[in-house]
Amino acid sequence: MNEDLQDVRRLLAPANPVPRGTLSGAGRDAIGRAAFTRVTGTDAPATPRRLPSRRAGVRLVTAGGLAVAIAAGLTVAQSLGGADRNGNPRAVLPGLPGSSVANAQVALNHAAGAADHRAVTPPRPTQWIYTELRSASIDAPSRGNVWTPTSPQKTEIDQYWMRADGKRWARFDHGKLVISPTGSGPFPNDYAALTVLPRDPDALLAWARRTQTPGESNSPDAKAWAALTSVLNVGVLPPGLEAATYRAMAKIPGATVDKAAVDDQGRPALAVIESLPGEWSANEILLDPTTYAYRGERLKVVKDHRFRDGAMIKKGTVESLSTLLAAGVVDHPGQRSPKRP
Amino acid sequence: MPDADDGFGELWDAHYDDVLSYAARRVDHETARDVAAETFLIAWRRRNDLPADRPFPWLLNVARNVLANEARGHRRRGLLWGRLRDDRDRHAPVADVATGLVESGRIGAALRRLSARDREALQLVGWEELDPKDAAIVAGCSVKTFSVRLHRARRRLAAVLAELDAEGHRPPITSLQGSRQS
Repeated sequence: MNEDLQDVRRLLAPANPVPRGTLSGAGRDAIGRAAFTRVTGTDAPATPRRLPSRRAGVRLVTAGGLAVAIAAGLTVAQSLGGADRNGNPRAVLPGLPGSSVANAQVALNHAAGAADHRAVTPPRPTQWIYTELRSASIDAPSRGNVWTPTSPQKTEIDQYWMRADGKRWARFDHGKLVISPTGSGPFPNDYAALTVLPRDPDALLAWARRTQTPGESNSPDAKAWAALTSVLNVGVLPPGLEAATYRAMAKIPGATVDKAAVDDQGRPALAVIESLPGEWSANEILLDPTTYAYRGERLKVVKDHRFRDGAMIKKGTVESLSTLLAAGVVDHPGQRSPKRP
Repeated sequence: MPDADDGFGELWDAHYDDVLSYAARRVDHETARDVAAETFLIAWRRRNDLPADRPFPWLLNVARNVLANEARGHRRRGLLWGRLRDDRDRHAPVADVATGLVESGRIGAALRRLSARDREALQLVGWEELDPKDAAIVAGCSVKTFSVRLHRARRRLAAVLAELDAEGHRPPITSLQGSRQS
């Protein structure tokens, strides 16, 4: 055993990206001190308060506020009605616009209208939201440094449970269900935190533009698009939020629509594409062309691009995609809700 | 750190840098800062339950779960996420969850070919320099299970290294650290 340890340390040391001592003193530098103040400035364990994220100021919410917000959501949903016995929204929908989708604004407003008609039964704070996402992205090329639309993709299925109050999440780790406390991620990704987002599209867009998005450019529109797509990926949203999200997206300039898009399963889809001038990639969300239900997102290369290190990525390559396979309210972590159609 | 009660300031001073290092070996620096802060936030809320004798592996176990939560978002954003992020990150780029690990060289290439479980066992010992007892706490398994995992992972690493040498493999430029968008 000891031999194993020595051998492994010797082998791995050269590949250690952060050798011991590299970050000495980080706990006391400016960022470290600020983090310390934030962490210890939160309430005592008995009445926990969320850590105000550097990225999303909206997450500063007291536990009492959450309870009120969730209760308010419940009232709205009860007046709407229309969920099935499992709390899943019933198929849509009266008054779904059947007209052709002329442009992105029209498509997004149709999606918002459809979402308005979809019933939502808010979870109780101790219930869990199950989400299953299939992600695929181009893998590091084995030969050469060129990605094309036919480059192999690496696919992963993510299955996880987030408690509706946002305080616990769960996943299977090597076959064992692991329930962990949550901190405060870059985006509000739990029901309680999403409940406090504005339903007014302008206010929601203003929030999304302020939200720091990892990896996105500094363009407020790109940031906003990414933040709003993140909201859609949660799958079970508080009443009014899905519609507000589409309406906020409709206010971002530059979006186009592709009525003849095909998703990763070969199904027809409606793509709403956010392409910023001069960018070589574009973000797309995919909607069901009949019900306007959210299916997923992808990042597509819209013109050939050469990286500084010589690597090439060709137009038409889907760099990454994510498809929402299932999302629903369950009573216990480990329980799954039915797959989406 | 002053002003903290319950010895939390000492806990911070003793372990923040190492928790941050753990995260920074697996995600970009900015995300690593978030992961470290979240880990200590969870520790702060549960400071009455902290194992007083050996809090560090407990903290890394929390950090591991926080990272797993972050990684979901990263996966969604695909391979270029790391490249774009690197491009804007003033700090030295480090291993990235989204691309699979991007440490340079032959060992990095070999680690990428191993399963996540094998990689974790090797890295906890090789990078965090934990002994099996502490590494088992981080990985959430028994010491015996961890030792078996480590032993097997080491064997598989040797096999992959032999494979790479036979292929005359050189890691593709694109997966190296420090790649930059033009």
